[in-house]
Amino acid sequence: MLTGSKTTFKVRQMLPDIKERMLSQSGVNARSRDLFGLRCLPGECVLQRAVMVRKKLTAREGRGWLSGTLFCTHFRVAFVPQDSPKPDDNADPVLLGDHDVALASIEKVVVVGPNRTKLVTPHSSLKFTPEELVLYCRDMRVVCFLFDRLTPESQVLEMTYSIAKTYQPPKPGSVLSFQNAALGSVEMKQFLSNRRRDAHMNWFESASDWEQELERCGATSWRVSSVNDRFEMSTSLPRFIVVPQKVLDTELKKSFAHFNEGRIPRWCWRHPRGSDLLRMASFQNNIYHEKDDIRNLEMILFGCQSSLCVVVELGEELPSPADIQLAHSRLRALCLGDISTSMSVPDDKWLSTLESTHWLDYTRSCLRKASEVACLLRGGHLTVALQEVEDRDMSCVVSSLVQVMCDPHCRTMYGFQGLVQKEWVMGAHRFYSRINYHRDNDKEEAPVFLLFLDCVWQLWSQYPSRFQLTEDFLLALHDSVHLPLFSTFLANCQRERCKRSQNLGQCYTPVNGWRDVLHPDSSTDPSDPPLPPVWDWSLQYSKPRQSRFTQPVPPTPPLQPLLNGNLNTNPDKHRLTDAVPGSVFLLSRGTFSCPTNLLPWRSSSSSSSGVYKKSHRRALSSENVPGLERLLKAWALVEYPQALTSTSGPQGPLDPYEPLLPLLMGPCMGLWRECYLRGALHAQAFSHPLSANHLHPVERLAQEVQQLKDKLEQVSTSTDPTPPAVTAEPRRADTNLNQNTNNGTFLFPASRPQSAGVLRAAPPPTSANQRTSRGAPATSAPQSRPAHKDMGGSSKHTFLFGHSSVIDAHPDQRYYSASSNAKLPKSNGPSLAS
Amino acid sequence: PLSNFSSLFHSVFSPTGSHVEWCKQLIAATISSQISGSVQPDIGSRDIKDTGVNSRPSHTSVKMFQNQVPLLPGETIQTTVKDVMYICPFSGLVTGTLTITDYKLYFISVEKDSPFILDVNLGVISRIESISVPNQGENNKGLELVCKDMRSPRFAYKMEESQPDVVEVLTKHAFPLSHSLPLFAFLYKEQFPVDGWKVYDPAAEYRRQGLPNESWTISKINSTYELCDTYPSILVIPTNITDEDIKRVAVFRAKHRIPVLSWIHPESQATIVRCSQPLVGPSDRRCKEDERFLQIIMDANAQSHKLTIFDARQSSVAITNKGKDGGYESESFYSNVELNFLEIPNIHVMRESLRKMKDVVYPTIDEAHWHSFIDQTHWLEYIRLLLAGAAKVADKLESGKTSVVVHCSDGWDRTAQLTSLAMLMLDSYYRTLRGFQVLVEKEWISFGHKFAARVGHGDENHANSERSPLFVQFIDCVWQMTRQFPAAFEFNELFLITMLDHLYSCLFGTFLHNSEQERANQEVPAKTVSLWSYINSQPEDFTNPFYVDYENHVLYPMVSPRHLELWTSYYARWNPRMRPQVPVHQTLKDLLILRAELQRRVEELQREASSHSLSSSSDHSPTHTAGTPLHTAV
Repeated sequence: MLTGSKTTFKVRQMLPDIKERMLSQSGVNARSRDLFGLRCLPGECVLQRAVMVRKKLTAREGRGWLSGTLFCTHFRVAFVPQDSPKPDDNADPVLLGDHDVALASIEKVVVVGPNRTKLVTPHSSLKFTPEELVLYCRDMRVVCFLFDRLTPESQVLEMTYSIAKTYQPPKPGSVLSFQNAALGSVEMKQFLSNRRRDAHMNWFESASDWEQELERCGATSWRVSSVNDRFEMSTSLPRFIVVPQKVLDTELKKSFAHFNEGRIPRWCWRHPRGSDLLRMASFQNNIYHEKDDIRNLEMILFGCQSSLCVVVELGEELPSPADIQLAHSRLRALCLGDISTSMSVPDDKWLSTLESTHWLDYTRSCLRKASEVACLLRGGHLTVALQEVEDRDMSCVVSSLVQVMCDPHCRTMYGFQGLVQKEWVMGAHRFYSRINYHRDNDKEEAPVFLLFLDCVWQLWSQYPSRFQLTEDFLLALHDSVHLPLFSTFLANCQRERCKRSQNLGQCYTPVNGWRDVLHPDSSTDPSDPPLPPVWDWSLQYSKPRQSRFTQPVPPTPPLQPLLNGNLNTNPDKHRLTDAVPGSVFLLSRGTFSCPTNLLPWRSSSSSSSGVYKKSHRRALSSENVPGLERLLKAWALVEYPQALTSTSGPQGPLDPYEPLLPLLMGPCMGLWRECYLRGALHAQAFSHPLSANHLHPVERLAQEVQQLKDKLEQVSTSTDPTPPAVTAEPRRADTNLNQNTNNGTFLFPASRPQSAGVLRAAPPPTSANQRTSRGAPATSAPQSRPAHKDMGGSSKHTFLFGHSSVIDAHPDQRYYSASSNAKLPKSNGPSLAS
Repeated sequence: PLSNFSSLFHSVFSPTGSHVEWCKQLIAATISSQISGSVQPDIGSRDIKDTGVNSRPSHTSVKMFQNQVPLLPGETIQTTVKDVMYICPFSGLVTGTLTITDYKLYFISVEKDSPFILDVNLGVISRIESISVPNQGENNKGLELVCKDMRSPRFAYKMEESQPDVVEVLTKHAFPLSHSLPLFAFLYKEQFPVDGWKVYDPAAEYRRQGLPNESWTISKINSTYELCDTYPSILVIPTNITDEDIKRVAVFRAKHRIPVLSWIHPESQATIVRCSQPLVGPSDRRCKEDERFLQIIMDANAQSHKLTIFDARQSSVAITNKGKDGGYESESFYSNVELNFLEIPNIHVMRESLRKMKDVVYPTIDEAHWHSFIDQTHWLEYIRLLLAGAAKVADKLESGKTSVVVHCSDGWDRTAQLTSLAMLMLDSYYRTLRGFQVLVEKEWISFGHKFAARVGHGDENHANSERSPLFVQFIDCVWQMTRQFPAAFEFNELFLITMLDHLYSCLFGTFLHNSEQERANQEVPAKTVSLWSYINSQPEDFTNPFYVDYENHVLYPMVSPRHLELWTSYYARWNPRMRPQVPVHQTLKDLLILRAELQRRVEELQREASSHSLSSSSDHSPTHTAGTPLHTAV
């Protein structure tokens, strides 16, 4: 096989002829699949292989080293540990194994030899044999391989050259060849086209998706409009938008011209207290406002609230995309460290340098803005319209942050995915330009989405127990952004996505094989593989890793019954609703004002009709400002907890729809170490037998509780087949037990898949039942203490925190059989869940 | 009983159950501890907080006197001043009543719905300053209490002819030693069910380490503190060395602090030995007995033919010390010895560093420049040096199987920091609640870390250059390790903060005086209460629920500043805006209780199930223990 790969290696020069290459490889698929333990993707071909290589494990992976075989294909650098289970050929293909690095995410290849390091480029030649190979990745991982003395020298050199030559050089076209390497084979295309979309989440692609969201939020006076169905009104808006019920499509059509790119005010979300969140682009000022237009514009803007609208201008206080790009590149330079240039920041300047990246300042300003909006919405009965010039960057950040803060649903994994679909994918964040996969548009590049993920992480780290999604999920999403494989990120708006998938109906309707060209006039290359959405996690992550994306959380009590669509719990309500209908205020730098030119049609006196002029004048008197400022002040009070008692009752902090308002002081804004410092390999002086386990304590405990609950269920099922001859007493226990299982939904949402997330350490129910009923032999009792410097404490039994000894002594210990522990993933290390 | 099970979920997770209760508690706690801190373990304020649901048998029989001032047994009110204004840096002016006892300053305001309480023990006060308070009406006298624990509360009050001046009373009781008064620890009359003075028994501790053995003996040579007045009475020294030789070595070592064993590796027999600097002097004096002593220490470990000396000081300072009759071991005189300098600055540098830190965290925290201000204190850099030094020591023993000798100048500051941190990394016993107490008693208290001088208990000379926060620094290092290995320590953060609070409070005798000899002369164990009595009477409060005994695991912390954090929950705890959003402690407690309950259920059902499957004909039905209603326990 290796000789064959040599030829493929040369094929690199014939890159344009992708089709031919693919065809030539499909023939050898059957044999190449199981090559030296590497499970190749269909059509994937091994370019180089090196044996007896060790991979350095990060803290998250348990630290230390792992020996195995290193492969370089034209899609990835793969590492197969020794003794890893034989790949199952029938399983669905997983693009990247746990230890693999996609070539497209490699940014720099560095080799370390005796006393020196060298940056390897496609053209460099080495004058020494590398001892270490370090891959610096775009997602801020640093992967390090160590070549043993046993690794044949020729393999080491060839491997280095192979990787250096095949990793994606930053130029257009290479992305396409990378996509083809991953997804381009006939089998892969077939496989992708047969995949179903995850029905657990809202994709916001069809009108019914939006209606479902309206219903979920209890937004009754809004409707889904298909006026932009063919993208004729606005090229960047999605096909379906949500507008007030009372505005007809014909009236709506006239409004598009008044906004930049036709991005009229659209509904995003409704707070349970009856406030609506809208977003819009800036006004087109040089346009004549007809009387009818004005009526429509006012109706759209005020939505269902007749009284009060607050326009939140996002331009001034938030970083520009260029700011974000600069900050992020500084952060990368700081966190990655770079042994090839030895330009690392001196230890005593670390925090100052971190500060000067301004990254944390920017997360803070986003969170602050979102907190202000959340507080306004909490006040109830008003419309908050986020306004940004283009409405495609910071309004995505702020609108989705507000929802993460206020809506527990958005803190679940599926809810969050839906949120990203709604505000980012359908909201037409320019993922494609901002990520700049092709490295051909540096001016537009800005990791706005990564800044958003950091903000979510900040919230998560301050309120870990209020999130069902975990840090692992955020990390997975963060890393996926850097892989140019997903339809989610490879377009700037729905229109582009639809164009690409050549089906106006859905973004992700895979094409049935690449030869099936439906629209010959389409601009896209017909050989483009169908791209999966990022949410298809099974393509990227193994089941155990996916199970760490969520954690059990207490359920959200259902929304209380809505009274006329509004929840009348707001103490400040009367102060705000006595406002003059049609009052509009601008929130900027924490203060409210009503500048005359806020709504351009109102300021142009020639066109304003008497009615609006009148209300306009009264609104100018600013009599509502104190009421609004009180709403904002509620937030400031949260920062001074001693004042909380007076403003909110004992229910205050418990209301699930109370926003999670973050603390924003310097010490409270943390660096996402788990993400940005994964590569700090050289920070450590020693190899470590133990890892710092980073599961949050609450997470871990919650997992244990879930495990116990499941055990209860198991035991209850195992008692079910009790012979009917038993006495009445146990039977009563049985009925109670069933009741318990039902009551279990009290603890965690019933919709949660039973085994997701938590059951890493728990045996599969069936086998456990068998064990219990059979009565496992005493030999399966918990093992004794881990041996000296044992890799991780994985031999500890399941319930170990503190009280484990009690169980040790318990006669029922056979239940905690050792075999269930053997299933623990290694990465658990010394975790408590082991 | 099983119906309790559903109510369990109710009570823990529904907003109608105990949640409301603990939220009320939380709010009450935040109010009452607006200054005394949410995790402030001052016995007084703790009990106020705990009056909510859980009325655990109160060991501290706090008596409520007039003005609702809770008093400890033995505590007496010295003066009460009405209409005092507390100038709160966070929420403005608060008017209330100020009470000064011989232990604490207690300010209570009932202006608002919920009382505002400020409780500062007098031991924590470093200096008392008069400040000017313009425009506060009659309250024209100002008072600032500069505290050792990073806060400086300020008050405004008016002078009354009839009453003694507040400053005078405060000064007298805050600095009793300067006014020929006893420290409060000698007046404190609390009875605890556990005697903390029994925690550390040197013989038992050395026995645990496998000592004495053929190479090491437990010596009584210092039983009367004649050999070295700052060492403990019981020392572990090599077997084959005569008393005469030891006395000659003592003369050659600063303050007579000879090399003695602190810890021995259970497998390799490599040892941590501590001492003071050799008195080499400018003329490169030699001491044959000292050289032989180190040779014997090396030989006691068969695994290695080397001995590593870690000199904690900066090499330049060590060289300068030669001019002052001190110095370091010359590698040419001591055969097979490797000398390393750990380059840790002295106590004055550390004191200055923490002083700068106070400016950064109190009273206001600068949002934009927080990180660079922290950098400028260099505090984390020194933490890094200490942890890195200790890790080197630990690694030398563990991986190199080589014995190490650790010293600085006198061997009671940096030496104690390094040996105790290294032992914490190497020996899981010291990571237990009890073991850590032993570690502190042994490496710090018995080996003569000069707590009295470094803290300045009851002494008004706040500018004394002997003061330095070395123990705080050590506890910070321990905290850094608990952050990196959250499951490896049996104690929690509250335990560490409690220790630091009572380092200053003078409520317990544990940290008083400079040496074992002084403590024995003052009869401290007989006349005062040990901090461990208090801790061990309620260990559940100080226990980490996630503890796993990693026996024999060596913990090497990551020491890069990238992985160190500022301990804001200690240093910046007075700022109410720093309080954590989610009361993790409470959530943990809830979950722990829930887990215990579920575990009990599972076991019960298993027992039930197995009794059925084993003997289906058996007619003795399993006894159900009634499930405890949970809310009472939360």
